[in-house]
Amino acid sequence: MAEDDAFRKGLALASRVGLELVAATVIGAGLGYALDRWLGTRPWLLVVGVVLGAAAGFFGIYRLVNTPP
Amino acid sequence: MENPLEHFELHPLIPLSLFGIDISINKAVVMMWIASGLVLLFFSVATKRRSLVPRRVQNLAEMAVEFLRGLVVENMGPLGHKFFPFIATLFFFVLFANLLGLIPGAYTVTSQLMVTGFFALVVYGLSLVVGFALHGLHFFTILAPAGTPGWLLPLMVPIEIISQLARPVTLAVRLFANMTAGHIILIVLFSLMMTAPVYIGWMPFGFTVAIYGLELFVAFIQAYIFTILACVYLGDAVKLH
Repeated sequence: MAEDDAFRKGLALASRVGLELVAATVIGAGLGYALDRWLGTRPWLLVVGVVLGAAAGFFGIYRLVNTPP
Repeated sequence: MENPLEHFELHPLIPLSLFGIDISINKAVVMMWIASGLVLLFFSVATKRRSLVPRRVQNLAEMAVEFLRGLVVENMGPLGHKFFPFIATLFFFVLFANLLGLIPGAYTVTSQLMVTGFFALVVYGLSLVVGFALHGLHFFTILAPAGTPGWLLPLMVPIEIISQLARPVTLAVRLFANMTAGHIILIVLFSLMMTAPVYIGWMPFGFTVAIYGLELFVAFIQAYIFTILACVYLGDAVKLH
């Protein structure tokens, strides 16, 4: 049962990691783009948004793999 | 070959509208009724003749419920018992919807982004409501991870806001993408078999069977992952660091 548990947790982890990275980046970019449209500061907030989103993605994965099972 | 995405299109079976809002009954709605009906049936059969030493269906239901209870308590602590009915309903509905979609001719409700998106929004909304109800305005500190030095806050808060916003999105997209991708592969392989001559057609057919087996596994795993993430998000709101 313990082995089975580890397998399930591993699967859940594997299924989370990839999407988490992409989704955070996309959302950061989307937020930046929307703010750009709103404030008329194209393209600077988009750049900031992509960088922050990527950072959020990496940080999320770091936290994900760092939490003790 | 017909368009492999055609299967996912929804057309109203019974057009209905209420105050200008389109509430037509389509096959996704019907499949959702069937899925919830099957969950009800499963549990009414499982609890019909309750015995101390469980047999067959009762055993299966008890195992699943015990497993979910463990999951809930592990992620949310003793308060988790209050959320157990919600989490269990979520798990069984998603699982039955996933499995039902694998019956040839049936429709996979969870391959609609609208459905999974709404589930994800409800889960995430609930976690926000629970967080604010338990911790009040102190809940905003979820945006600053424990042990962050003050000078890092201007950087960490936007990052945390983005990762919070990513939660419902990933929750919805994961389930939707897994179910849709699997069914597209099945459709493509199967239509390949239908168009190929017999002496080569066995190959895509073999793959179809293999992928079908994989999809059965995916149906369980995705229901499990959707549930465990709902538990994790609610647990974060309950525990707050």
